[in-house]
Amino acid sequence: MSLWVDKYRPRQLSELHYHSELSDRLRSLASSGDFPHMLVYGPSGAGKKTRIMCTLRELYGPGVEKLKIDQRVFVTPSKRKLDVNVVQSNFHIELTPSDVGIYDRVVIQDILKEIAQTQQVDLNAKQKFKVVIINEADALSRDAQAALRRTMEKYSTNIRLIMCANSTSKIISPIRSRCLLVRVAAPEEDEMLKVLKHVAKKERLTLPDESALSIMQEANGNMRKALLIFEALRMQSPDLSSSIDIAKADWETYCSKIADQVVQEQSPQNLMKVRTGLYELLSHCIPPTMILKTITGALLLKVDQSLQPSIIHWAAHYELRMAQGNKKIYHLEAYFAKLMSVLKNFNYMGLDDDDIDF
Amino acid sequence: MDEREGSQPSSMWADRYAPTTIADLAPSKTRISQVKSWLEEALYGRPAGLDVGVNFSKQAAERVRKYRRILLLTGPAGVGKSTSVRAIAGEMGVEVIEWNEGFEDWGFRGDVERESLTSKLITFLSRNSYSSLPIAGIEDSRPSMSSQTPATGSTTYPRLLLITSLPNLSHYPTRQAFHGALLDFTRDYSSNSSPLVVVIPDVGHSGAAEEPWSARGGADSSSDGAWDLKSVVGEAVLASPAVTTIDFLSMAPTFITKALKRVLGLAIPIASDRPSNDVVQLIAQTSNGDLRSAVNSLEMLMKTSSAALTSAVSGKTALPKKGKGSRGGGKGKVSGSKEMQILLNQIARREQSLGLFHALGKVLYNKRIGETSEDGDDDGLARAKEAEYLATNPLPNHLRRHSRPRYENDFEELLSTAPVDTATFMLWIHQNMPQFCADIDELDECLEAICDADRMKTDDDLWQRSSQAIAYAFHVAVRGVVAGLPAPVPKNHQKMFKPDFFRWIKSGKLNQATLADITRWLARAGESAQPRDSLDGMWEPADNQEDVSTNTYRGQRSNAVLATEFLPMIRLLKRRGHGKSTGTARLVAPPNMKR
Repeated sequence: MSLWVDKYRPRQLSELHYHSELSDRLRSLASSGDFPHMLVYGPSGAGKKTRIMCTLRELYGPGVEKLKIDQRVFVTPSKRKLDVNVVQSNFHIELTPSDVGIYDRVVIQDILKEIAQTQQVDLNAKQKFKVVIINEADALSRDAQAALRRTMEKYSTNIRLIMCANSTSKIISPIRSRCLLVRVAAPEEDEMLKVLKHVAKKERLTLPDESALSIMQEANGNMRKALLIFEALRMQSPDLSSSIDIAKADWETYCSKIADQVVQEQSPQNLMKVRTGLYELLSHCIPPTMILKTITGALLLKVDQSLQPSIIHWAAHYELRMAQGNKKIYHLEAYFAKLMSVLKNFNYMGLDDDDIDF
Repeated sequence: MDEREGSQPSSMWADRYAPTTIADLAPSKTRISQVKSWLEEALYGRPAGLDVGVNFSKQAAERVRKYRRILLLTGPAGVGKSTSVRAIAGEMGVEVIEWNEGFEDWGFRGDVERESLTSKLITFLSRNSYSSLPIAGIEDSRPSMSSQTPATGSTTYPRLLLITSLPNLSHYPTRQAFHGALLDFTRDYSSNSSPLVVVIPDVGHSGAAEEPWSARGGADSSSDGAWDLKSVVGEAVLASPAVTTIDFLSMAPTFITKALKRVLGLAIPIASDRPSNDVVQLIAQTSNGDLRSAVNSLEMLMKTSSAALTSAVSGKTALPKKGKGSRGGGKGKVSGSKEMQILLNQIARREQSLGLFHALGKVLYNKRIGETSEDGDDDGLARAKEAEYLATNPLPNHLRRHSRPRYENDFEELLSTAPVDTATFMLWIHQNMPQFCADIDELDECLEAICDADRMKTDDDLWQRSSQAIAYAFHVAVRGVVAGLPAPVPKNHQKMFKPDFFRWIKSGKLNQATLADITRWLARAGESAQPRDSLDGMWEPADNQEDVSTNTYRGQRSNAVLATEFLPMIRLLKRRGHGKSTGTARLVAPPNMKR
């Protein structure tokens, strides 16, 4: 059996629990026969993909749910082989070109061309076009986006693009102007509660209000995370009464531990401990920016208010450097060294100023 | 020595006086005996160390031989890998068939020349894994060994394939073909086939690093730049039970001295014409464990005017033995007079690369002019001079706090003698830096420098790679670190460690593979065609089985989401459900993947 997130994922627009206006709009778009390219954006776990898949079902009927998973091989001009995982049905194809890094342009071009040049085979298909879903569109390189723009014009009779992104800011304006922008906002608390209750009911559970509240607090607007936590909590304590902490993601706990270390003692030896922690997180494939953000978030709660601006300043500074640099560990560690140095100097300052209680 | 030269003008000493007997071989006795016993097992199937009297069945011998197909000899250049094989094989009476670039002469049909070098190598491997027909080159001297070779049959002689020059492995198809050929070689076994020895010069680290590491620099070092053993022979070959690896270490000066003396004894019959012990030792110490180059230097030295040499030696001969360990090559202080060193530098003009730890020490100990050295010889004069220099060239007021004696070493020299590439060197510095800082502010400054250098992206972007950029990055990193470190650094018996980076990269890759597994598993679990009863009860209590038939998989998820949201939860679920696994990597491998 699958996870609850998958199991109770709505499959039709009518089953969606929130953003009903958006659902109506998508439904009318799908039935109008004139479906535009779309750029769906919104925070992680808000339900972008769910809405896309529901729309697809609206477009093509249940046939679109017959998925098969493929691995395609692409060859770059420099003869390097790339493996790309592709999910497809008869009517659509889904890919994440950013998986291949700087070679995403090759993948985009090849796959779009291939699909665009083959007409819809299924005569019973409701639509003449196929849909290409591009995940993580905001991680596409400039090159790939430029290539995309050309293809969107050229093959618009045969394909429609649906792009999925966290924000539109990294998408070049020619693409933005060619797409219908659809924003999927994170669900409100009562909306999340509705979903949680729905799942609880289906699972024949009673979800106490305080547990629901702590789940939602932990999930912070991320429906997927909420459901995962809910399921984990259920597994850990079947009556759902225990503290939410046991269902927390371990890396987050780890991050707050690192934050503790930074505040505790500012010395080269301690930085070595922090380094080990950072390595541990990095090797567990936690994205470095997420590490930086999470630890910074935990740190901000522990330091004096007057320090907070400078901490955020350094976080921004080192996040930029991380993007420019090569080995993430250097920059992450340099960030914490800087913070330790800032903290230490602040503490010394506090020695002769007895107003600051720290 | 002139007559001898006249008799055989073509070859150099290194070739002419190469040892032909096991006793003369210079590498350590353990390696030699390892190679020897491997060869014996591979050829005769008789485990080394088994008493002659013990009866060893033919089948058992076959079984042993089957798992002794390929021997990989690795190690830095010039430590005698190939020479050892040849000498041992020679002494065992084994015919060595060697692959080298000029292979045409060996081929027996005209059309062979049409083949590319790679395909020739592959044919060489497949053709020679079978034993020769009886007509093939018959050597006269078959030592007694062949009498105890039941496996190879009476009509054939044992033979050994030797590959010393590798094909162009940076060409991807060539590399694949080479890997394939090796793999086939491990698999095809008949009682007549002969074993293969591949000599792989170590290019990963040039001479001084203590242990070979497999991953170089960059976060995704699947790049084709790094030549570790895995990329040379292929992972499958390396994992094959029929493949053995023996790693030769770079030679200690004492071994080289011994070998040099042997060569001298052969080359120059008259003892009085030979150079003094000091000269030999000096050559041995400057050779960095490379015996071939040491012999070459010796030959060059003897060919240039011997008069100059004797005068130089007589100038100052007292050789202060510093009493460093025998493995002090490159690390220990090179003894001998200045003149002699200059002379040697003229003869063997090679850059002496520093030992990795020596180079690290030069940076991290941050030695300033006039500082009291380790051994306690206080250089008061230098200190006074430096103080005078500082007094005459004062920093402007606002920078006064940076005032300190100048750094003792030359950065340019450090750059040209660094034993590893800049990115790796930076990793080592980064790993060991914190111990040398007394204060977090200093460490912060050092890290800042490393970050700046890292931003120059010298090691990942093939297109922007330029030697200049790398040099700049080196300077930024090293100068920055030196400026940031306290002077003098606190000395509390710091130990240098290998960068953790390599270990974490490795486990990171493992986890990435796990993520891919999870993706597959999630897809599998949701794929409509898949009968999913095998996964039933894996995640949920048994009483909860409604609409199993519906398809729940809805497409891809990004790795970030998987790593940060799914994986921790699945781990929690699993911990509850099965309660046994602990380590992450093992934990998340989804059960029942097959079926």
